[in-house]
Formats: sequence, C-alpha cells, structure tokens
Amino acid sequence: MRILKVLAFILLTAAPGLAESAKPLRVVATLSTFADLAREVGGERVDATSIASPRFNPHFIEPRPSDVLKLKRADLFLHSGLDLEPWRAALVDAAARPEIRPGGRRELPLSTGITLLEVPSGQVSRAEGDIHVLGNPHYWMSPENARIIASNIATKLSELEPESAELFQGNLKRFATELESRGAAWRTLMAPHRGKTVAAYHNQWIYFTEFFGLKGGIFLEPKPGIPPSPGHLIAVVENMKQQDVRAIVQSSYDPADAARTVAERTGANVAVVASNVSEIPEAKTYLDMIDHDVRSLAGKL
Amino acid sequence: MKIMKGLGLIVAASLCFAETSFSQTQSVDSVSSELAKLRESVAALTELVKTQQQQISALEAKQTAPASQPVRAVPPAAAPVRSGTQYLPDIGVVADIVASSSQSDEDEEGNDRLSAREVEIVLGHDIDPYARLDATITFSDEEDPELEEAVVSYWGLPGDVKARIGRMRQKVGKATAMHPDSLDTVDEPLVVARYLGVEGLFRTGVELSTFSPLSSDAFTQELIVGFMEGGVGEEGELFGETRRAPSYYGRLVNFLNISDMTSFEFGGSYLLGSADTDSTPEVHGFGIDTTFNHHFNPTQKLKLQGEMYLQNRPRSGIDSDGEEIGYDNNPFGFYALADYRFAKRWGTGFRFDYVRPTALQEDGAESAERAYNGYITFYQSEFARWRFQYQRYQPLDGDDDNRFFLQGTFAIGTHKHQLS
Repeated sequence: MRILKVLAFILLTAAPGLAESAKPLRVVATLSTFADLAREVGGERVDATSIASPRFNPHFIEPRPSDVLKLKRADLFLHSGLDLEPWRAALVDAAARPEIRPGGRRELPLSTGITLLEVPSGQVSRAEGDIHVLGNPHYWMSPENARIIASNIATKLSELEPESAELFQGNLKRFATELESRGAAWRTLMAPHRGKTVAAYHNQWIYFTEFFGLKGGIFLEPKPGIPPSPGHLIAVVENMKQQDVRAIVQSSYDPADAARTVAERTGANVAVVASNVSEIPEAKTYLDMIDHDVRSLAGKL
Repeated sequence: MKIMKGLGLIVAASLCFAETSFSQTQSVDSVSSELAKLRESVAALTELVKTQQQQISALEAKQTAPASQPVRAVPPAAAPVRSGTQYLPDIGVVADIVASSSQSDEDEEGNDRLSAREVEIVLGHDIDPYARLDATITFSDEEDPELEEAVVSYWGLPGDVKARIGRMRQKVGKATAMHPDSLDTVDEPLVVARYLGVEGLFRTGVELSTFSPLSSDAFTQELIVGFMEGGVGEEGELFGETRRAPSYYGRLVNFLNISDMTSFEFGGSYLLGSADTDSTPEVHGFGIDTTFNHHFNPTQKLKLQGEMYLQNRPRSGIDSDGEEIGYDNNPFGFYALADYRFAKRWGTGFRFDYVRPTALQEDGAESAERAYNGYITFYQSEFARWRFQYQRYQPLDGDDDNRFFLQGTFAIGTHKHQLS
C-alpha cells in the first residue's frame, strides 16, 4: 500500500512536468527567416513564429500588442543581434521579461559567429542615411551564414531542452548536408555569371552576391533608406551602361517605379526576389527562398 | 599546360611511329591506315582535354566559395567590451518646430509666430536586471523647462505584471498616451486638450499592467490600472488643480489581429478624481476609443481612429481661487480622425473635433467647441517630417478662426518611445 502511495505521489508530481516537456518550445523570432531556420533545426519540438510580416520592410515594423504577448510567452527569442530591427528594444521592454532581455537565458542574437560585412569605421552619421553601425545586418542571405545561424539555434535549443539535443543536432546535420548539396547546385547555376555586377534598390544583398561571386555597389537609393531621386537615377543609368549591368535586384516590398524606369533606360532586367521566407509564395522555406532567388537572378543576368 | 605538353608528346610520338611505319612498309595503304588511326587518337585526346577543362572550371568556381567548416557547438568569443561607454544611457533629441498663424489677435502661446514648441531630450537605460529608467526633459521657447517623464519600469513581477513608477504619460485613451511627435496631427485633439491638458495627461504615479488570460494570437486584452497625483495636465478641466490626494484610472484594451495587414483596437478608460481642494473623488471620467489600421500594400496605409470622453460630475464646485463654479453634469467630447499614407513619403488626413465645456457658460455661448482639420505630411526621412495643417476652429464665443500650422519634427540619437 505504501509503495502504491509513493508511486501515486511520484506520478502526480511528475505528470505536470511530463505534460510540460511534451509541449513544443515556443520560439519567437523577429524575422520569418529566423523562425524557419528554427523549425528546420527544432522539428516537432519547436513551435516557431515571427513578429515582422515578411511582406513588410523589417526596418519599419509597427509591433502590435499580440507581439508583446508572444514575447511574454516565448521560450526562446531569436533576433538579428544587430540594428536591423529598431522596434525590437521597445518590444522587449513592453514584454517585461528578464529572460528575453539582452544576455538573458531565453534570448539569442543570431549574429554570433557571423563574419559581418560593411562594418563602418570611424565616426558614423545619419548624414550617410540609415547606415547600420554594427555592419550590414542582412547576413542570412548567404547560405554559409544560414548554416551558422542554424548551428547557433541548435546549440541554444539543446541548452533549453537537453533531452532533445540529439534530435536538434541530427536535424542540424541533415539541414547542413542539404544546404551543402543545394549550395553546390546553386553555385553551378551562377558560375557563368561570376564577376558580373548587379544593381539593387537597397543595400541588402551583399552577403548573397559575395557568396556567388557577383559584384554590387550600384544602388537605386542614393543613401540607405533615402528614396531614389531623379538626379541619382540618371547617374545610376549611366553607371549601369558603362559597366554593362544586366540586372536590378529588389525585394517585393520595395517600390517598383524606380527599378522599372532604370530598366527601361538600360535594357536591364528587374529581378524581384525574396529577402525573407514567405515574402513571396515561392519562398516557403529558406532553401526554397534561396533557390527561387538564384534561379530568378540567373535568368535575368 | 601539362595536358597540352602531354598531348604534344603523344602526337609527336604518334608521328614518329607513323614515320617508322611508313619507312618500314613503304605502302600507300599502310600510310592511310596509320593516318586514320592518328586522327582518331587526336579526336579522343581533344575530347579528353575538353572534359578536363570543364572540370578545372568547376573546381575554380568552387575554390572561391567559403570552405565548409565543421559544425561548431561553441560560438567564437565576443568582441572585448569597451569600458565606460557601455553604461551611458541611450540619448535622443526630438525637436518640434511649429509656425502658426491665425485670425485671432490674442497673444497666446505660439500664435502668429515661429517657435521651438518643444525639444525633448530622451534618456534611458537599464538600471539593473530588474528595472529600467526612462526620462524625458522638455525645453521650449514658450515656457520653462519641464520634466515630462521620469519613470522606472519593473519587469519579472509575479502574475506577469509590469509596473511603472514615476512621472509618466498615463495609458489612458490613445492620443494622450502618445508623445507629441507621434501624433498624426500638429496639435492634440480638442477633447484631450480641454479635459486632460493641452499636452495631454502626464502625472507622477504608479501603474500596473497585465494581459488577461483570454488573450491569444488573434485577440489580445490588456488591463491597466494606476493611481497618480491629483490634477490633470496643463489647463485640463477634468480634475481640479490640487495635487494632494491621488486620482485613479484604469483601461481595458482589446486588440484584434485580423491579418498581417489589418488590425482593430477598441478600448475603454475610466478616471476618478477630485474637482476641487477638498480632494473628495467625485468626478468620474469615461473614455472609449477605437482604432482601425489597414495596409493596402507595404507602402499605403489607412488609419481610422476615434475617441470619446464623458464626464460625470457634481453641478458645482470650488475653483482654485476659492470661488464657487457651476459645472455641466455630463460634458462630453470626441474626435474622429482619418489618416492615409498614400506614398512612401506622403500622407494626408482629416480630424473633426467636438467638445462641450466642463464649466457652465454664459447665455448665448455655443454649446460646444468644434474644429475641422485637414493636413498633409511629408516624410523627409525616417528621422524628419514636415506637416502642414489647416484648422477651422469654432470657439464657444462664436468668432470662428482659420488657423494654419507648419510643423517640422526632427530626431537625432537613439529615439525609442515605449510602446503604448
């Protein structure tokens, strides 16, 4: 009888814990791409959502009360770790949870281990537009960096749920292998275009172009975040003609007029590509997104 | 290169072999046969060179891509921390420059002049693992410097409650809870200016907020309660001027996430305070507000917003000069606003104001003040904005006024208003 009582006690006290550990970890990411990579690594042990709708420019998101609630209930908060999301700090303050504040146990800046490009040196000023003082933050557009991001997520998930560490590492290995395989195919597709220059609406593609051996440096925005002016577009047209630039890259949320005008005057093609998962229907996952972007750009160059 | 040398050697060897054969057999048929074999060899070698060249190109392409690295479990060490500067507060400055012109001859604040209406210095930083301090100090060429906010926010409290203590903008309604630079119009809606203060309501107090258990991704409900020092903002009529005894307030906000492009919010607010120096809380203020937001696309957005305040108060009281004053039992006021961002850099809108006075008016006075506002906004960048607003103002004394405002709002440094 005594044994039964002890057994019942153990079962009663363990039951809530068991029920709790059965629930997937609630992962909240600032961007849909980060949430997708969390799903790749976490599998069924993760319920990942994002705050910024991929249909909007992530610089200009207006968080909602529901986003505050998401963070309040999150087991893990993923973000860029840089100044890509100016709305992030106020959102974290509103959520009022120590664990998701910078350095908290349930917070993960995904830029750890990333070799950042375009880190400004010397004095920075808004006279140069909306420059990112910590470096260009659009680092997930390089498949190599996606592997690092996924690795960071796997490490953190393993820390939060050690009993599932083997699952997370297995998923990471699978994802990395698939990424390597697809990466080779993408490189083959882009190989004929190595060394070519690509124009862009906003300076957000440097990690993508570097990975595939393309060149950038021509932007429709005169300075980051400043809308194109007629005078600047005239200079862009001349520059593109001199360098025989065949393609202009932009996100779906960038205004279409400027790129269309420049394309008409230079004979270049406009490639509307995704900069985040689910930004366009073809970009359902990270791999799908890069695949679409590569094929789209290769077809325009 | 090696391949070409090899090919040359092979060809030369083949030629030698052909010559030897020719000299040995000295027959035309043998020569033809050998030549044919030679041609086949050359063709095969050419094909081999082509294949190897393609392989070399592929290897070259692969060589410049970053080499795969083994999966690391431990990220590299973070950059060393610079001492001292890490603990400086975030500092931002927001300047609000307004030029106004009206038909009124009154030399009231800002009328018919260009003024630095408000320059805010915003400071904020974490105090320790439990709390954060935010302060807003305002300067103006129209009035003395003022401490608008000095509020400590606490997190991690039991029951998932967030607490704010200090001088702050109380979360009552919509417009008054926003900093002036966040408003859609140059001025506060009339009902806010008249009942809560020309710059809205900000007092010293304590505020607690939490989300209700009914909240989900699609529907969020937040409850806010607080108490504050007596009185309201500058020239506000809801409560008297005494600060001695506290006023109380609460707000219930309901937010519907209809989609990532559309949302709807409706809230109710309640305030309880005193109209005079006896500090008996006999004045009740009720507020309702609705806000509808819809993005047609990432650039174009429509916002519809309305707020109404209703007072319930005794019909008489004692003003700050000790004189008895008569009040309307249930004065009310409201505004309705439509704001349309039609381009990345341009927006336009309209606001209608209606507000009944709190104090009884002389015979012949209008029953309410009204204002019709139209405005256009130019967004110079994320950090600078220009707004032109026309206002047709109908005061209580019946002398309508046409007012024009040109506002420039500029932000430098770190500027982060807390989410309302």
